[in-house]
Amino acid sequence: MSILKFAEEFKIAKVLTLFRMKARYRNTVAGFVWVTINPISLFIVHALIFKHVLKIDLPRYSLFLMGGVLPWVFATSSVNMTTGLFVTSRQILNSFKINPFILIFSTIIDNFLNFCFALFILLTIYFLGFSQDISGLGFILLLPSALLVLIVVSLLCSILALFHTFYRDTMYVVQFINSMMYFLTPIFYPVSLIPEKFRFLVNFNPYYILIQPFQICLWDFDLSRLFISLSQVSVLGIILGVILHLYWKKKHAEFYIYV
Amino acid sequence: MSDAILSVKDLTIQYRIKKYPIVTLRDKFIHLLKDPFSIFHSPSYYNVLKGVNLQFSKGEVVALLGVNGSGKSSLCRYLSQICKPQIGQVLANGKIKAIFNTDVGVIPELSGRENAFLLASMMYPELSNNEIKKIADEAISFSELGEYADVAFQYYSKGMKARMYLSLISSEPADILILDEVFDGADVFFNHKVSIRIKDMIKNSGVVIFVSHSLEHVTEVCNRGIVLNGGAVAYDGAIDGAKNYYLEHCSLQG
Repeated sequence: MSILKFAEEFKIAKVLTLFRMKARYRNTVAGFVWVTINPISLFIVHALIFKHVLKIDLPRYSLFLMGGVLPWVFATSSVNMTTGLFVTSRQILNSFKINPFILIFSTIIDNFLNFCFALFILLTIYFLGFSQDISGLGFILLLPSALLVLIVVSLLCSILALFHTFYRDTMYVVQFINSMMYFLTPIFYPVSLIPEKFRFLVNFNPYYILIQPFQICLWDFDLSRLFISLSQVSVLGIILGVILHLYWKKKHAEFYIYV
Repeated sequence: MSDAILSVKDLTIQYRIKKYPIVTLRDKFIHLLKDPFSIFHSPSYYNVLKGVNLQFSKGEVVALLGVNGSGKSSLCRYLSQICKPQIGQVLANGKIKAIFNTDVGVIPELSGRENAFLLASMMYPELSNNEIKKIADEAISFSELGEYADVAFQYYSKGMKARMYLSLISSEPADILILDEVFDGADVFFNHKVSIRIKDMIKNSGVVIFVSHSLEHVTEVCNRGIVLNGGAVAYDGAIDGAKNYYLEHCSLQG
């Protein structure tokens, strides 16, 4: 794809995202705040249950949860919203000359902005009410890490949406897997709680790979660990990119028949 | 031919035929358990079109005719380069604009004006936002939608949607314009009005390819006709000849 074509498709994605957001929020009072209630309320429930009921003893647990629950909500809600997107957008795909992946990307960008907004609100409350014990460098590196995760989540969602086009129960299988992954991913418990002999398995959990950079930036910042974590995210991105490329190459001719 | 804006060389469009349709992961799982070696079987293919060669030159307004299932829409998808050929080539010497349906809004919850802007952004991404807004506003004005322009697109009738789309796609010249059954919704008066506008646009454009079941309409607008039949180009020539061929050879199959 030439740079010019990429710039044009990026512009279409930008316009589509803006208009999607307009359509989504225009009928709700403070609609943008409304969509952030879900991650924030989940964060509050986790904080109450695991800190005060189950008594997980972890320093700065609120920051740990922020780095776990919010990216989890971003990743899983993106997957849930986009897995069926090609099928539900079949009329658009069959009517206009549009790159199908732009639809996925614009939905994920919309989700990503909600995630950033929810994180901004919670971090502001944390700064004002508790303390300022977040690493400055970790805070600065949060954005580039999040952008890398955004790209990898987009690749994952694109593969699942393609799968759903050909296998119409993919969405239900993915929802089932996500409900299991919630417990298997160190979101509300630290990875150190997993028995040592099984700990290596989290390195094969794509959700943990995507969430770990946020936990490192917000909770226990260490530049070398962040570098390793982002390398894992990049490797996951390359693997997903290759799968997407090969699968699309094989199936794109049939895509418009099945969608 | 050197003046060809769009050319098709030995294009074959084929789809896989499956003995047992597998539409869910569950089906796939069961199928693999029953016949684990099936993944090594080479699939059977059904040819929608086989070895098609076509050339389109500047100033041509081409009607693609054929009965349902003859491959018109598939060919249009390959011509518009939405699909990349696996066998053969489609070579375009210019920008391609294509619309396959006028009954759908990009975001139906938004107004017609907003959808017009969105669609214009998708069709003319190379232009600035001001230029796109100008095109969208002009198209809304030409479509005579009046106060309905600011009503949510989902409440539009089929004809109103068609008016908006046809106004939009005919507002700017295009190197290659592909329109698949887009005239079927608008009323006869508006079709006449937009036909005049498209004729004006064609003077500054490259090639326009129509798919329509309205023979009367394509005869009025087009100067060349291609009939697809039996997976091949059965006729390619003057529009009147194409129309006659279509009526004589294809009608009994429809």
